[in-house]
Amino acid sequence: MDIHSIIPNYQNLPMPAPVWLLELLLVLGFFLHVVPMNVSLGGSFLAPVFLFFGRNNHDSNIYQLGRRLAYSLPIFISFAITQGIVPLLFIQLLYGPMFYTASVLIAVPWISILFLLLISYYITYIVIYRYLNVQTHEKASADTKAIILLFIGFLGFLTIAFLFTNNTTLMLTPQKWLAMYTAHPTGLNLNLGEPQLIARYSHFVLAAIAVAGLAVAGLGAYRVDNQDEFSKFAIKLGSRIFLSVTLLQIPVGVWFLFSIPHDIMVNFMGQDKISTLVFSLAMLLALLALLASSLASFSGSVKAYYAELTIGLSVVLAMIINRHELRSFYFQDLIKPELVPVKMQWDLIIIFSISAIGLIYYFYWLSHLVWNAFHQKQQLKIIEEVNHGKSI
Amino acid sequence: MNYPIWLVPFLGGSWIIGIISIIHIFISHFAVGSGFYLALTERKAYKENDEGIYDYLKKHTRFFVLVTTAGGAITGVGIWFSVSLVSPDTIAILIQNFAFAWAWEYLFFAAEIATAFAYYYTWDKVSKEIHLKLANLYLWFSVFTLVIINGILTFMLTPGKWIQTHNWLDGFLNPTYFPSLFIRILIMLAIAGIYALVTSSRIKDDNLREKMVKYSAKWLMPVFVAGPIIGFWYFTQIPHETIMTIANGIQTSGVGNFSILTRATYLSLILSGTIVVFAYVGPYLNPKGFTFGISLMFLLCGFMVTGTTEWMREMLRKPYTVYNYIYSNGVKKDEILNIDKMGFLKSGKWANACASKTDNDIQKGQIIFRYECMSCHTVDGYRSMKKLLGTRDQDSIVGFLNLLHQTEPAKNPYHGIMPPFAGSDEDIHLLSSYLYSINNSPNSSDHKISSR
Ligand code: HEC
Ligand code: HEM
Repeated sequence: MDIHSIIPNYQNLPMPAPVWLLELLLVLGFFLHVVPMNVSLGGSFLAPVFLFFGRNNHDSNIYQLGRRLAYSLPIFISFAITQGIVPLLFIQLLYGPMFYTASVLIAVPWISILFLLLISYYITYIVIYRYLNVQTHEKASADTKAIILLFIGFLGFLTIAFLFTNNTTLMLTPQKWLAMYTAHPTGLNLNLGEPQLIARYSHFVLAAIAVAGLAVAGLGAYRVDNQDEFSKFAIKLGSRIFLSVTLLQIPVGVWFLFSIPHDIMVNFMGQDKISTLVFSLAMLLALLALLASSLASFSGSVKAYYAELTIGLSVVLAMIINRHELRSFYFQDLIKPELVPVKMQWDLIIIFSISAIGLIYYFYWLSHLVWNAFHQKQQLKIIEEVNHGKSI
Repeated sequence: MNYPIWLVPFLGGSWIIGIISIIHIFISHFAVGSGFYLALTERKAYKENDEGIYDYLKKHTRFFVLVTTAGGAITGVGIWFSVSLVSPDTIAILIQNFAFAWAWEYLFFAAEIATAFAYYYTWDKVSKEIHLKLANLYLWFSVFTLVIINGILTFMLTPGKWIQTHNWLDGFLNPTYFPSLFIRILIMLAIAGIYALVTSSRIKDDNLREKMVKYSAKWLMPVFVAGPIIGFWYFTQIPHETIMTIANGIQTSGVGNFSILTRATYLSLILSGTIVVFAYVGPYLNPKGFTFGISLMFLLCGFMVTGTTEWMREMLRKPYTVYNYIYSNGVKKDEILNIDKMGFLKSGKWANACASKTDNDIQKGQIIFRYECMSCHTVDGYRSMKKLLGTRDQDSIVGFLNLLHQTEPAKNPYHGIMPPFAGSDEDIHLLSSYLYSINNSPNSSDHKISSR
């Protein structure tokens, strides 16, 4: 069978912008999705673990850290969802024929993402308002419930990530589609036979825990009096998590690389110049991230943390570019979005760009406002505490 | 036919979209309506310097953040997920046209969500002026998301000049853009009022509760006053044919006419009238006796009105997903002649691929059925073929399909309700064999179920 006979056609309408711009927006948008998504996924694992280790002493740093992490989860989850819209938009625009088809084939698990997401999201809210708030936070049973519930939320996110990996790999391999559809036209399929699946998934889940480690360290650096004991503790612990998980990532990454078909893998090993360059850059950055995180793990210094954060996020971006290149190699002989005619929607693109700049400025203004709101409060509290100490 | 079809037994795919959409609309209208409600009520609290209202708003905010940031966003993505599973060609058309409009909306949505969180977390942590400013910002961002998404939604019913120009702006600022925008804002105010009735009925302090219940009930009134006028404006802008369908129904249909749309219209009007009347005599005139239980009744009624109204709007658009351009079953209007010539099973990639797996006429007919009919019918569930076909024999089914095949409105009694059948005479034969087998095949599994 000719594989092209089951790759659906693009619509008979022009693209609103050239392919390179759409690809750029896809990659950038995905990066903005990945960061909060990783914190949600990894954080919903780390938070219950921290709470577990601190359950006997609520004043301990580890308990406080778990509590703060749990409190921040809804915001990260919400941003993971909101930012997911951008790649969802551009992946459909660029690779719709592959993406829609793969989604239909796994329709039932795919649509279940919505329910899993809703449940996991509300679980974190329940934990925060019911079990971790001030009135109940002394009770041991509330702790147990919080830990169990957060862990269930984590399982939800873990499943969602697995379903995404199923879809993003199934869309690469149209040769499997027809047999799958004939077996279950009701959409009860998964891409479990894919050799890349488990390696790729493990690679992403570990990365999520590492990035959540960066967020944990961030909770320490965020403190105004960030040289205090808690702050140092958080930076050290978060950096250690990042460091150890990233070390573990070395064998897993190699496994992922070798699970890719050989003729595609060689592109990253010298055959394709740009891909090889990005890949080498990613390796170099990963090495630097390991160095910076060891530094931060031992010193707990805020400066080392910022270096670690910057380099760590650059590694994520470089990996996302690799991932995009990987998909392009798969698609090389399958579909060509660049053959669809382009009719630039200049007016919209200009309005969009101006608004995007406005939004960045607004976010800057808003985070400033929120930061001040909380830090003034915190400073007041410190002053109060100091005064209180004096009066005793 | 370009894509594989997702088979959803019993319910049919369109209900998956429907259920998710109705929930989403109820939540998202609340999100925008609350923009107005929070901003205006906080201004009231500020002007009157009323700590009671502030306290109430604080509680209301948590409810609001819990519902909108999670439920609103997830169901919104959910519509997208479900439409792309059920009508991939339609969503692809929308995205290819409006990708940047959607991206633009996303910017406001991101700002809206961030502001909602900031608003919620900074109660008592910033000055009252700044907090009020956040409420106003939230209002503007949320209104802008509506201003943008409204263009894409109304495009589907009235694509206007876009059909000729394929220019996004022609499709965006289409004939129903403004009436729909205003109606939606009115509905949003009402929905915000309904939710506020729920939270204000829980206020402990008697005086404050009465005050807020009465105040929230007022939010239901604007839609009552201005709704009918704008509604009329809206109806003058939708395609004439659709109106005729509402009025006349299927004249020659043996199954009764198409008055279900008319009935839905009445139902929606009656329900919303009831809500307004009850809001007036209940919480507005009589805020003392208003309880949490009654407020939940309002919530339920509001949900039902939203459901019927949105369902009606969907029905108006049938048999198209983008009016005059692409039918609900994924067949494009200008492709039909070609499909008649080529044969249906040779015209689309996946229809062709599925058909090449079998030599059996009934199975081939089933494939045609899945593609051309299952966007609105199921075999034995929603709008069941089993029931609609009844005791017809194969000849009368062929007769029916020949009528359905006519593209000229005068010759096709189902025009405006079902897409014309696209395919050759051979296809009609295949489809009729399958349709006949639904009620008449001794060894089909469907038959076993029905003969229990
Ligand atoms: C756009 C949605 C839509 C599509 C697509 C559609 N139908 Fe219908 N069909 C309807 C509606 C609505 C009715 C009216 C149902 C009622 O009265 O309950 C109907 C009624 C019918 C009836 C009963 C009418 C009568 O006069 O007996 C039959 C038979 C039927 N459809 C067959 C089909 C077949 C076969 C196809 C595919 C070629 C098809 N439909 C495609 C919406 C659709
Ligand atoms: C918070 C829960 C979520 C988790 C844990 C999650 C996880 C993931 C993972 C692991 C991937 C990479 C899959 C792979 O390449 O193998 C991914 C990709 C993707 N996610 Fe999410 N996701 C979540 C929510 C969402 C939501 C709500 C949306 C849509 C709004 C979304 C949109 C996307 C898109 C479009 C991609 C593919 C991008 C591409 O291939 O270029 N995600 N997600």
